[in-house]
Amino acid sequence: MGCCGEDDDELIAPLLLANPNPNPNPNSSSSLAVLSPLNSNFSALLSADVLRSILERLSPADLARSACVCRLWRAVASERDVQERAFRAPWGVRCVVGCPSSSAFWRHNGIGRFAISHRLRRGDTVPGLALKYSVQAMDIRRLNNMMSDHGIYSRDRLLIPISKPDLLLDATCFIELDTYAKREAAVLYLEGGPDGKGGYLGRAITERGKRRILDSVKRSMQVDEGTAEYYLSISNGDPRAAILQFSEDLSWEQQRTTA
Amino acid sequence: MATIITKEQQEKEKMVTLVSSDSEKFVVEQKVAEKSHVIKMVMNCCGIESPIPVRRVKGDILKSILEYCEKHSKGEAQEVMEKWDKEYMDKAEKDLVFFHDLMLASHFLHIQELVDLIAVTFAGMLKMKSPEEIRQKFNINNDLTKEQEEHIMTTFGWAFQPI
Repeated sequence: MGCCGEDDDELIAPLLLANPNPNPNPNSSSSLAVLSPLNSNFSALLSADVLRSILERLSPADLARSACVCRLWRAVASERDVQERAFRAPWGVRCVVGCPSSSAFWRHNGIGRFAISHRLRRGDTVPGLALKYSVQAMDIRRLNNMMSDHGIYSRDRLLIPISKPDLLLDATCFIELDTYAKREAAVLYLEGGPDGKGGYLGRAITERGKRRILDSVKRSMQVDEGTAEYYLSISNGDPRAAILQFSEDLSWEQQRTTA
Repeated sequence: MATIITKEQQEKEKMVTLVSSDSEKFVVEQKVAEKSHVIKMVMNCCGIESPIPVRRVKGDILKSILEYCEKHSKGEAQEVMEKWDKEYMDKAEKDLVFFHDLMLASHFLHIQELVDLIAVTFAGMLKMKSPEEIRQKFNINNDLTKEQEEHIMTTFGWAFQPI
């Protein structure tokens, strides 16, 4: 290793490219020239593992250019993990889950590729959300492909542009194709995973955590599991709201019986 | 508590001999050699009494690597280390062949910190370079077929505009 091409002249010699055997130096070790399929002096660059460790640290544009160097580089640079890492590295995102519809998604890693998913609740308005997330209302409309604010009623979630990059630090993003917004984005869920479709216990908590909340609510309300589950579901998984609602219903019931 | 201190002292005294491919001998502390995952495994199973041959690494490379390991086993402040790392890389970067061998050896010996450091430096070399420049610099043969190149130009064409 390193036995040939010691002088820089050889490295930058223009005839290397024209020559089918780019090792014109007769002093260079012939064994290396035979061993390495690419006839490069840099045999480490022929190992996919070594190459991966390097390419992983490139920006998407540099990665794309490296993909055009030779077959091996192209293969390594096209690996999903390498592309994902280039995509998320500048933002400190921990991981990006899911596969985009085309690998072109990875090319651009601006903050505009990321968005927060806001599950719409009753009373949410676009200006209200803009205030809540400190972004421009216009940006929300643009990101979600909304002609007017009335569009909010037909959707169950909106994508919110990311105002502070720190939100992405150590976060997990899910690549999703939003049918309303008609765009693919790396979606960040601030309050849970993408599974919380009905809003029912839609928090990023484990099955065990859900179980514990349910048990504690059941105990404080002194009711059976079905009732506790019902109240939790109407309060969107918030135990405090569930108990509040339950006591309200209870007092209403007592009033009825006394009346 | 006392046992820990004596253990550390013992470790300090323990020296291990590494032999490079050109039979150069290096005597280093065990904790320095332990920076390399591979050597650590060897020491764990074979002990440190007999010299450990590092057949695939030449003397000058091994010397440089041990220098790195020694510095990094001292546990100095992060700023000091970063500065030292930078100087170390600047020096290594000057000679591409040496740098390449260093990279290979760090992978071979599995010194993760050094692998990362070198990869970052290497990635820096590839920044804002056209494929042609990369091929020239590292003497890589272009083995892409005509169709593949055309395909690349359609899919990656965007990457070439800003240069």
